Amino acid sequence: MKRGVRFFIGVVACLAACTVGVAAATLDEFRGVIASIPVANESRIMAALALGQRSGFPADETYRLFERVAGVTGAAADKEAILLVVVEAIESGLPVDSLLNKAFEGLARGVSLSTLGHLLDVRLRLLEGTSDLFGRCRIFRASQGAVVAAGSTALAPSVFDALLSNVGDALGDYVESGGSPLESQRIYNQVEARLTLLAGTAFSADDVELVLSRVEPADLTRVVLAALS
Amino acid sequence: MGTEEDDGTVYRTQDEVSLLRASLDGQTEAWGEIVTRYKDAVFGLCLGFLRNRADAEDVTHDAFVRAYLNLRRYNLDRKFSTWVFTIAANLCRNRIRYRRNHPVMEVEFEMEGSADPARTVAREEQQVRVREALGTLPYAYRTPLVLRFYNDLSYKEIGDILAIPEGTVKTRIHRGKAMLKEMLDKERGAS
Amino acid sequence: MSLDARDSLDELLRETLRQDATGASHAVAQLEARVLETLGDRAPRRGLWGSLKALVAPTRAGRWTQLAFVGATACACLLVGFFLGDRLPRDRSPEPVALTRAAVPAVKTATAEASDQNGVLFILPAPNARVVSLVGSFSEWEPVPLTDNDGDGIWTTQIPLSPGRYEYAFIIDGRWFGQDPSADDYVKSFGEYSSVRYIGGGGGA
Repeated sequence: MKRGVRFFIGVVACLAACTVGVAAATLDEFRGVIASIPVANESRIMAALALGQRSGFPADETYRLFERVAGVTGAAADKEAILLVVVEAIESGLPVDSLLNKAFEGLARGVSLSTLGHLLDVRLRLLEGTSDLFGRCRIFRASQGAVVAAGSTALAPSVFDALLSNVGDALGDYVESGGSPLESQRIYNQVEARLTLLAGTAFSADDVELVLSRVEPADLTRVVLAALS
Repeated sequence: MGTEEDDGTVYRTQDEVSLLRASLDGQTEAWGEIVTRYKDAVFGLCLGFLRNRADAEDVTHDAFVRAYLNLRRYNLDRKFSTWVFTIAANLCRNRIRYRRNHPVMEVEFEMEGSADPARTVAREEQQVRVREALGTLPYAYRTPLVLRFYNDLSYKEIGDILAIPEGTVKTRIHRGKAMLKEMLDKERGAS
Repeated sequence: MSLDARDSLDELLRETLRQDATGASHAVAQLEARVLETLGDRAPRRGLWGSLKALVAPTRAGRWTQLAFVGATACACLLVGFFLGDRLPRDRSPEPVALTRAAVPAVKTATAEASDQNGVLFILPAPNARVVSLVGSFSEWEPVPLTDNDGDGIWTTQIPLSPGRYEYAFIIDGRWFGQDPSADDYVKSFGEYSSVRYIGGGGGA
C-alpha cells in the first residue's frame, strides 16, 4: 500500500513539475528570443508578458511573432518597436490578436520594419480609441464581482474583446485603404458590415446591435482622427 | 427658359436634365414633376427599409426637400436616381436610430386588398409570411434586398447608395435570402 | 407552392415589396404639393459654384479678358506639370496573374459546393504555375501549399476553419495575388489587395 501511494504521489509530482516547467519555459523562451535581438527594454517586456500570462493572452502566437521578428533582417530598434506595440496593448488590457495578425502579414509581405512598426502603432491607437469609445458608450468588459451601473452594459470578456478587436481592425483597414477620416457614414458602414457578417461567431446579433446603436458615425471619425494625429 | 405658364403640362413632357436645370434656377414646379416621377420608387424604398407607413411618408417628403436644397451638389453626370436614393437611404438610417430611442406602438402593417383575380389565396398567405419575415430581418440585410427586389438596382448601384463595397452587397443579399428562406421554411413546417 | 427554387423566392420578394408599396401609395398621393409647400419659394442653396459664378465678369469684354488670363495660367501650369512629371518615380508593382474568364464562374460554384467537413475549399486556376501556396490569417501568414494533382491547371487545398473572418492571398511562383474571385470581400493591406472570407455567422441570434 505504502509503495502504491508513494508511486502515485511521484506521478502527480512529475505532472505538476511538467506543467510548471512548461509555463516557466515559455517565459524563458521569450527571454531568450528578446535577448537575441537585443532589446533595450527587457524588464518592461518581460513584466508585460508575465501580466499577459496571468490575464490569458495568446502566448504561443505571441512567441512565434517575437521569433519571426527576431529572425528577420533589420535594425534592433525597429524590431523592438514592433514588440513594444504588442507590449503596450497587453499593458492596456487590449486584445492583441488583430495586432499579431497584421504583424505576421507585414513580415510575410516583406514590408520594411519601420513601416510595419508605424502601421502597427496606428492600429494600436485605433484600438485604444475604440476601447475608450466603448467606455463612453457605457459598454464594459465584465470582470468578476464587478457592479454594473444603471444604463451600462457589461459583456463577457471574450465577447467584448472580439467586438473591440473587430471594430479596431475595421478602422485600421479603412485608414490603410486611404479612406478619408471625415466620411463618418462610410466608416460606420464598414464597421457595421463587418460586425453584422460576424454575428453568431464570437458575439451574437444582439451584441452587434448594442454596439451599433450606441456608437455614432461621428464617434468613429473622432477615433480615427485621434489615432492619426 | 420660355413662358411663365403655371400649366403643369409644360413639365410633364420635359426630359430630366431640363427639369433639373429648371429646378436649379428656382422653378419649383419643375421639381414637382421630378417628385412625381420618383416618388413611388423613393417611397417604396423607405417603406421597405422602415416597415412603417408614417415614417416612410415623412422620410420620403424629407428626402425630396433635402435633394432640392442640395441640388447644386448633384453632379449632372451621375445617375439622378442613385443620388436621390442615397439621400433617402441616409435619412432612413437616421430615422431607424431615432426610433430605437423613441419607439412607436407596433402598427399593423397596412395593406390594401387587391382586386386582381389572378392572385390566389395561397399566394397572398405567402406574401403575409414574407412581409413578417422581412420585418424581423436585421436592417443591414433588409436594405440591400429592398434595393435589389423593389428598386431593381445593380449590385454596383446598391453599393454606391449604401456606401458599402459591391462584394459586401452580394454577400448580404445572399445571406438575407438564406435567412428569409429559413424563417419561411420553419413556419411552413410548424403550421 | 414550394419555395425551394431560388427563383420563386426572388419573385415572391418582388411581389410582396411591390404590393406593400402599391397598397400604401395613397400616402404619397399629394406628396408634390407637400414638398412644394415646404420649400416655399426657396431656391437651391448657392454653394461654392454659385459663389464662383458671381466672380465672372458682367461684360463680354471682361469675360474674354478673364478667359485669356485663365488660359495663360493653365498653360503655365501644364508646362510645370510636364517638367515635374518626368522627374517623379514610377510605380513598379507587378501585374496580378490574369484569370481566364471561363474559369471564374466554375470557380465560384465549385467553392460553394465543395467546402465540407474536410474544411473550406480554396481554389485557384493558374495554368502555367509551378508552385502555388496560400497565406492568411489562419496560418500566421505562413505558406500553405496548394496542389494540382491532375495537372489541369486548377490548384486547390482545403483548410478547416472555425467561424470567423479570414484574410488571405495566394502566392504564385513567388508573386502575391490577393484577388481571389471566390472571396466575400477584399481589403487593401500594405498597399496590396488581400481577399476576405467570412465563415459561419451572419446574423444568427
